[in-house]
Amino acid sequence: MRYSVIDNNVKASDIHVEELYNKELDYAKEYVLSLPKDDKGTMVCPLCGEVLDEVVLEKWGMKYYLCRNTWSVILDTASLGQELIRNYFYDSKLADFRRSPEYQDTSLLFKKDSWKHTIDWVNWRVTRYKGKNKYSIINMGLKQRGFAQLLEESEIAGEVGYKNSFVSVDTKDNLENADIICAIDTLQREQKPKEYLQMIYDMLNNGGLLLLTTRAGMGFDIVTLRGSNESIYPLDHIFLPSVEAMKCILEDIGFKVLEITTPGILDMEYIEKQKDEIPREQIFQRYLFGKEDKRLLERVQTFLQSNNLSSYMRIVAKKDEGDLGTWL
Amino acid sequence: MALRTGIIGMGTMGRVRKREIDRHPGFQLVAISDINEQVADEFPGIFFSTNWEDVLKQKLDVVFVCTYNKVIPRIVITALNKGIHVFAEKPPGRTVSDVLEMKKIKDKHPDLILKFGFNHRFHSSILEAKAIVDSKIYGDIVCARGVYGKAGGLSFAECWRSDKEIAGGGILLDQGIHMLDLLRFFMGEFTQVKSFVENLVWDEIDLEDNAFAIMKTAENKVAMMQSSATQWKHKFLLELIFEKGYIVVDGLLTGSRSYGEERIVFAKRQFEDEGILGKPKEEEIHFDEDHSWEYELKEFYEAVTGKNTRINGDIDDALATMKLVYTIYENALNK
Repeated sequence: MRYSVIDNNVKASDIHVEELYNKELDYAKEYVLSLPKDDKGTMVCPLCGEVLDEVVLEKWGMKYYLCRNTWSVILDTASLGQELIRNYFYDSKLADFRRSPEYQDTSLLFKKDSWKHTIDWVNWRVTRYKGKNKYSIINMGLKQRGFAQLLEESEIAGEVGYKNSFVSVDTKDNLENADIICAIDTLQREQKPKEYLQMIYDMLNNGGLLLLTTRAGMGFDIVTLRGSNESIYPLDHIFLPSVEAMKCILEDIGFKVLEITTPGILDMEYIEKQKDEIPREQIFQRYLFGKEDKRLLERVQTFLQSNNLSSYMRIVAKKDEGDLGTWL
Repeated sequence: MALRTGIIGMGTMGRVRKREIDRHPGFQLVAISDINEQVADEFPGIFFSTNWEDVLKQKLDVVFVCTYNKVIPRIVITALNKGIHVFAEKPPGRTVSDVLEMKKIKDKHPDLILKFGFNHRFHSSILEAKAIVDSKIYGDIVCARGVYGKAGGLSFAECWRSDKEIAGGGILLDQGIHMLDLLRFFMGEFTQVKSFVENLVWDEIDLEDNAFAIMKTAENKVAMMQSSATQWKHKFLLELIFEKGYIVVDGLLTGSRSYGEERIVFAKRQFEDEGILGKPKEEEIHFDEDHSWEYELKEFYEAVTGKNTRINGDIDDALATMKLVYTIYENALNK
């Protein structure tokens, strides 16, 4: 399937609410700059085990490497212990800010429509592949309580549980296994993506669905802007896989990949916003954005979407039931 | 153990079914029948007869009936009476009474599966549309428009499809029945029907080359439909309008690709406060592969092996759709 969407109404500011995003960036930068840096270690791809030597972008003194086997972009966190990464998300000024009423309430105000769109997507894909019903759901890595509320109100939601949440959620259920697992923008924060997906596989009931979204390393704005890209930063973005890498890793674990699409709508906008920072050697991109033709950029965005080249990926995968599994 | 399988009729549809049966590990093809003797040479090692009754005398679990409309009911009834599960092509015979006869026998054999080949329900765009309908993300459907058209062709007047004795009905029964099945699938049963059934170009045949219908359900949902053999360009278009959005299914992947690229466009309604009025955010999916035959067979397999109790295209679907076809014929304002 080839998916595309043109949404003239969604702007980067709807995804990254400026008042919050600038503060998040400041706190993230402060934390990352305080980390010990050690360039002496060897960077190894967490998927294929290959030693990596091609730095694709640098941010705040940290390096992102390209794995040429899997076309994934991976942050070098080898010198950081797991504790430092954990603290970034759960025990830092950034984590406190994200838990604050200011962050939670403002997010609810500005991002409700985009959450609703994500939950409509979950609802639609679950209905498509499992049929109309109520299902047990585990949501991974919840950042905003407002999202949880919308998820629990959706047509498909039976019992809903949460794992690895950044905020506390009042819930009666503490599910260990579920029919549906939502991992919305969580994989990109993982140092060990394969282990993370294996954990999800183990939590899914047989025939269950994983609905996952993530930034993609080979997305057009990422390969164009590289280190200047304001939407990619450590440690919120550690693992940026390619479409091919995701298919491979999921199938290795035992998932049946039902669909991978890149419905991202903001590659062009991100680049346009920072077009003066396009590196000199990116002649085509400088030429493209120099034209200042909005319709052309829209058409290029549609091309990126429908050919799985945008920098935002959506995946539906099933815990396989074998060849004779249901036709749905 | 694989289901012992027979196919009766090795024309276009028989061969499509065979291709899928060969791919599915749950079926084992053991017997074939066709009126053309030479067909036997193509399938060595498989029992063959020009008489379909010989196939039903074999030890079979399931049979696929891929014949002309006229003979479908007799074969279906004979197979059911022998305890064989049946997958039959559409249309389910030529008339409503054909379907009622099959239903009478099916009701005597509640444990047997009888499924008719309304494969359009299994096209990717239709599955996506159904998921949107069932998920209620756009609310309820309020109305629909469907156009299914083809170019009749050089031999249109002479082919079996234009012979009332063999086919029973014209373009509406042959192709339009798929659109009616889909409209029922999405909207429920229609209780009011107005129609025109016409010979707009081929006056010399006594079956219609065009049918136009406007239909309404008891819940006040309205559908318009045209089935045409004079579209001159192969066309499939289904628009579903909801309380809070719409879906357009445009094109249908077929073997010849002549019905265009299959795509579904869908959007949530947007008023001035959410964007540009009348130009909502449209999402679009293009499909490059047709899995409808595969999915249809899988559903049949699941039903026969007891994994699934609800099937698409059962005898009740067949009866309701056939009744709708004949209501359109009988209510035609020009008859």
